[in-house]
Amino acid sequence: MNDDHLSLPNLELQGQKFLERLRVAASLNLDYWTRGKSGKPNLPLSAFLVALVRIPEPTDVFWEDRKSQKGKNAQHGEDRVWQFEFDLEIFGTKAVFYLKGYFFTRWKLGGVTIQSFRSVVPESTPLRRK
Amino acid sequence: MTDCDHKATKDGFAKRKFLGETFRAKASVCKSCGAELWDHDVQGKFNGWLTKLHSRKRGKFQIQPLFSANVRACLKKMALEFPGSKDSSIVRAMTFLYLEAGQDRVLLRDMESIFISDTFIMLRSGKKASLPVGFNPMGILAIHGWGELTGVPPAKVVEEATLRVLAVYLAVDEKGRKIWAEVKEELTRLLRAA
Repeated sequence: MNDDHLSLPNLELQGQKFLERLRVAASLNLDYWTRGKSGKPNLPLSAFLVALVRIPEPTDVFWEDRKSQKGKNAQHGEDRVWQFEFDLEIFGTKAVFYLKGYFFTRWKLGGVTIQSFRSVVPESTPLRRK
Repeated sequence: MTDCDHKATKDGFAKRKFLGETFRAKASVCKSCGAELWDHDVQGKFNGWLTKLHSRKRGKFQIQPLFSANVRACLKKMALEFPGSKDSSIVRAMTFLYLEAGQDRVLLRDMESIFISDTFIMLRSGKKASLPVGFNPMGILAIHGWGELTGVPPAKVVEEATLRVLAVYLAVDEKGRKIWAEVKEELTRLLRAA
């Protein structure tokens, strides 16, 4: 069996729910990038943890090859990065958020690295520019 | 501006201002954008720091939502249904009941539909006074998390969540009473464990 056959996108196609995978991975080992001085600032980790409870099963998850092969988990992480947008209704108001990351380790769900989590304003995420 | 992939890291610090205090711990930092990696180790240090802060400065873990006389009267009435529970305990339980109802989207939707009624106006009207509500470290982190998501202050998060559950409590129609039965069961469970 090769890597591609076991990759998480393929597992999802076999009926495994993406959201369940994300929640399990986050509870096992969560690496969260926050507070960049340049670039787009992520919401704090505490915001991600409460949002995780309400994220709906994403309908459009975009997968692409991971560019970075350096850094923590890069060597044993999945080769593909996922990203999607979702909306949350909070206090009767709908807000849109963008989430990007990758699972680790290859072949075994050990955790997740969240690279981006932020509130979406029009044209503000790579998905909107596509 | 594109998203940084945090390709290369260097040794640095994770920092966070929280409850008027500053947390700082060694962490990996992205060479390119300066983002900090909050891994298991940093999260553990932050949680330990928060626990110590809670034991030293309990007052910082208190939130002061503003409630009208109508809300306070409702809380007094509700307290009779939950023996031994103070107003602040009920508010705390109602806050998390609403915020975590997201796991059951049907209940959340039902609660919102009741909230947009005349009850909404009644609960908000009149002179307001603050009610100090204390939270443990996990609770205060969650309240602030919701504040960061919604862009509203923590006290407002508590107010909005409480008003929504109270609106269900006051509902008199059949649908409202059914939802209240479900909500009450959960509220009882939370207050028993408090």
